[in-house]
Amino acid sequence: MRKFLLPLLIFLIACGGKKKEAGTKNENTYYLLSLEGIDSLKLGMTKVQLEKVLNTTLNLKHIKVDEAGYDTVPVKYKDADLILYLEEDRDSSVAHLIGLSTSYPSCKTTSGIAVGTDKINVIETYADHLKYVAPEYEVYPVRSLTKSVVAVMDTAMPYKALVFHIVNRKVVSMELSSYYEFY
Amino acid sequence: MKKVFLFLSIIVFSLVTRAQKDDHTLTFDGIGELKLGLTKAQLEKMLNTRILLKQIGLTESFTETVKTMYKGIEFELDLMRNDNVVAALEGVSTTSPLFKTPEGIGVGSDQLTIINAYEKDLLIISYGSITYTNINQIHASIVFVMENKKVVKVIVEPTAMFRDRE
Repeated sequence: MRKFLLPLLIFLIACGGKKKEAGTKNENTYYLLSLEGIDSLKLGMTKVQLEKVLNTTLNLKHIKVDEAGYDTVPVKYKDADLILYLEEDRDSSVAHLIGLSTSYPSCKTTSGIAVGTDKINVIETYADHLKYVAPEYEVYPVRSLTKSVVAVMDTAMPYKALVFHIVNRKVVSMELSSYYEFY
Repeated sequence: MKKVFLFLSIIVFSLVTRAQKDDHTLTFDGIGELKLGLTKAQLEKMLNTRILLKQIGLTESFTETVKTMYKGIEFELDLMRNDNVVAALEGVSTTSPLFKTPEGIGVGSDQLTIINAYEKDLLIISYGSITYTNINQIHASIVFVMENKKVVKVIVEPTAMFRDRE
């Protein structure tokens, strides 16, 4: 009986350890959002570079099509849904990344802000940054009573910002913008 | 008994009248009776003292800050050169806890209370201050100077955006 018990005990411990390891890995699959980009998608990347990382073709509706000069493209990055903001280039690179937004729960900032974080935590986390905190428009010019925005400005680049969209004092989506201006 | 009642009535009446006279409001217009736009002459009349300028009119400077006492409370007056009236009140600040916004915010209030009180308006939060501006009238602002997440000083002044437009 003892001969059976010992291998069984070793087997059970090994299984438990493996399960924990798998769980830890799953918990760590976050995509880090910073003022530079998200995970391996960085501001300034060209359309070709983005397509290589995303392994897909970005279909542009305005850039090199009409006079708009900007495009908003929904993409899948690994398992995360993102919206990419592209600006037209005059050279052969066609367009480059100027911003992105996501409401995917596994995206979080380097300081731990994610969908569901309290508005006050966002403000307190970025204590050293200039921040604009204001209600968003429900329908212009009417400001919302429940939706607001916390724009955390970059300390080096004056218009670059991490913009947190808030509903009922909780983050519902996050945005990285190269040209944020309060309006 | 009648005499006592009369005496008490006089005391109560004088206290009420005094309370009504003391303006402890903190608004976009100014702090208490010190309203933005008052001229140097008007301020001198209110403060019952002469304001001696060391910059405006004597140097190239357009602005000057003057410390003053008004009704026993210390204020800093930011004066701006004006062609017609020598100088006018451009900004005013105090560390007195007596002055409160209509929402009850003043020296001693904490950061969270301010953020919750002005959810419908624009707050510009930087290290060491929170600037509160009416979202529909961005001409003036109330700046709450913060230390350890508490207001230690209040300033009423034109917003940077408004100043830049002028």
